[in-house]
Amino acid sequence: MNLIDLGVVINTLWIGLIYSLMAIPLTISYKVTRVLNFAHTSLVTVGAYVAVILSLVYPDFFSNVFVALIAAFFAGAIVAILNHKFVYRKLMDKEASPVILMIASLGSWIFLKYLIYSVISIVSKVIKKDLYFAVPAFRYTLNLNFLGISNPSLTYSLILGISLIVLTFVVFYRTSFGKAMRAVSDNPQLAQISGISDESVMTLTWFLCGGLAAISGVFWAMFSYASPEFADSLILQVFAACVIGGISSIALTILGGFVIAGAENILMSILYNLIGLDLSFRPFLSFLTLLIVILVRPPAGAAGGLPYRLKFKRERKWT
Amino acid sequence: MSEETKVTKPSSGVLPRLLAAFVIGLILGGLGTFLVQSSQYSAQLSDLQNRVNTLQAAVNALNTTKIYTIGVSFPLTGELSDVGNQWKTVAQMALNDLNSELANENVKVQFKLVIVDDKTQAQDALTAVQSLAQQGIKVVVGPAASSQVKAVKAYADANQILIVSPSSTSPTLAIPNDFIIRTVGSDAVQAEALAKLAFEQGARNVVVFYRDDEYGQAFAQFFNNVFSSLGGKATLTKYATGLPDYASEVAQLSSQVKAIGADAVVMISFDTDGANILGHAKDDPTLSSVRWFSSEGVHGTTQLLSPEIATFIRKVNLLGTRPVFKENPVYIDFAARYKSLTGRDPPVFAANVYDSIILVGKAILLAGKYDGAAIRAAMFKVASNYYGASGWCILNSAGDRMYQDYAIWTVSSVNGTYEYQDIGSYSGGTITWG
Repeated sequence: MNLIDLGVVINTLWIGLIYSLMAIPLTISYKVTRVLNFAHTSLVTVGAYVAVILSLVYPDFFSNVFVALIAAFFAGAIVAILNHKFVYRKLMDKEASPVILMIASLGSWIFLKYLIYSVISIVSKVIKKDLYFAVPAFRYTLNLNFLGISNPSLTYSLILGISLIVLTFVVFYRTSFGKAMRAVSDNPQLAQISGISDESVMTLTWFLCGGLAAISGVFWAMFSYASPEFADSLILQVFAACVIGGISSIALTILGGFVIAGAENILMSILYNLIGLDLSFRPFLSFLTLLIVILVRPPAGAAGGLPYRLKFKRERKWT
Repeated sequence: MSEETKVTKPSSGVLPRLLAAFVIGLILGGLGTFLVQSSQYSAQLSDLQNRVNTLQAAVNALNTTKIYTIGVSFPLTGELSDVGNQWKTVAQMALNDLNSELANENVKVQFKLVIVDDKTQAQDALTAVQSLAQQGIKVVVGPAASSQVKAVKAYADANQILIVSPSSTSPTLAIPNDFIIRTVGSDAVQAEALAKLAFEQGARNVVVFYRDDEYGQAFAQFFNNVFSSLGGKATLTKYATGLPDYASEVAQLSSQVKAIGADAVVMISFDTDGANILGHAKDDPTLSSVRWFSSEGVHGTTQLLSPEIATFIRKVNLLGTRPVFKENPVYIDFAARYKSLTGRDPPVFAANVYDSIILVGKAILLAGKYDGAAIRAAMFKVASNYYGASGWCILNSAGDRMYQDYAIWTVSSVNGTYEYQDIGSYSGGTITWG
């Protein structure tokens, strides 16, 4: 028996990519706004459902993946901005501590979750289609076939996902907006003195992060399925990926996503084939990995982030 | 003064005195009699007044409608939310039918439902039943999953809350004299039906891929017992429940099927997990080259009718078993009304949900009082005479449905669209095709 099949490797790639895509906006929003946003999963769900509902109701227009992705992006972005304006901004104006903001985000999460349930319930009755377990009705026109993957939704989400990650890097490190975001995240007061508007950077950050989260939801629904709670059951893995990345470094967050995915798939496969460990131990493995990573290699982030630490060491050597 | 002037005093004789005494006695006696009689009259009068009041109250009671509450604990969110929300519509249909029947017969009783979401979780089911009980509710329809029924059992038994599950099928919950009634047959028979079906179809070395919960464990165990006794070999592989995606599990299943050279996969799942597993299996060459068998869990999911999955189902000739109700006029009428209301066919166990609500309503009427133990006793009597959308609902001593037939289902193409079809049945230990 092979320890690892090709299928397992492909799954690792795909799930790792999805974890990364979901974790990146969480990391960026935390870096810039200092809100550990639990309502993140609701943004992911909103994205998935906007694509599903539009593609079912207006198949002529929204069965095109790209159009649906753009629609989902704006839907997620709008919800994130509204959430910021009506919840986080109000609390920030009262100088609420990060803990209060985090608890407020838990509140938003539960509020949005039940709002999503209500909308799905109503729309489901109106269009007379099952939405509690739904897949977007996309037409995959290009026949992309590589690694022997026959499922077009998988290849589409892999290729588009990788492109999106590259695009995020470009926006964050190569544009003036990205520079402004990084400035606000490093030192909000200094950024403000330098003429960077704190509030407009935050709004733009939520726009970007809400949109990215929503798109990751569409990718998930393409290959797996959308249910009102799929994103909630992913939140622990996504947070684990963020924590491995120190909720600070985008590159390390991506690594974190793949480490968690690898533990769940490749490690699971090896243990299953070697010692017959039950498949139902899969969730356990991802958190075991998280614990090991935290203990062996204390995360960056709160302690300054790996890039900062390297920089710090380098500076010390020079002095 | 002469003697004539001497006035003689009238002689005060005995007679006048007697006369006076008689008159006084007469007056006193009359007065006494009047007093005694008038008190008797007043007692009679108040007695009459009481009777009039009682009659008046009875008349009022007949005129004012008595309202009984039936608790409902359904999975409106979580893993079974797909069917749970459809069941909500079914429960409402049953309630309307029950109430309009009572109104037509001029029975001044109405029922109302209090529906609580148990999130498809065992712990939340207990919370749901507890919160219903706190509102004074003595009978609850639901929860859905066997693991949830198991979780509420101790509380229900201790507080005499009658639990009527329309869909819990685990054989481990077939316990006499408890407060759990199940309007569906236990899986012991269904596991036997599925094992015989797989064996008859030529499967000899199967992987049983099952949910790691009360339902899956018991089903897999019973399947294994029967399949082994027939001479087949079953490898049991369980998977964690509640995961958002099962691609990894399917990849493992594929390598296991390849490694042991299995000729079939037997899937014991719920709806969303089952549909997701089939959705991934269709892309796997190994899993596309073996036969598939399934329990009832995934039956009715719209996802299975999508061309991609349906093509896979046809390719691997997936056959499943499901508790079925022989086509009966009540079911046909029910299914037609449900379809006109929602545009969809009734989901799995919809008929059981419908019958559960009707049975509970009738049992409360028969019991004449709103009390868990009384309703429980009445439930057995009502069920033994009730033929509903799901057929005869007679209960056995464990409070489970006594007569349950099973259909053999698959998905096939009808006029260019895919539909669920029953192509055979299992009754009394034998499979009949057609």
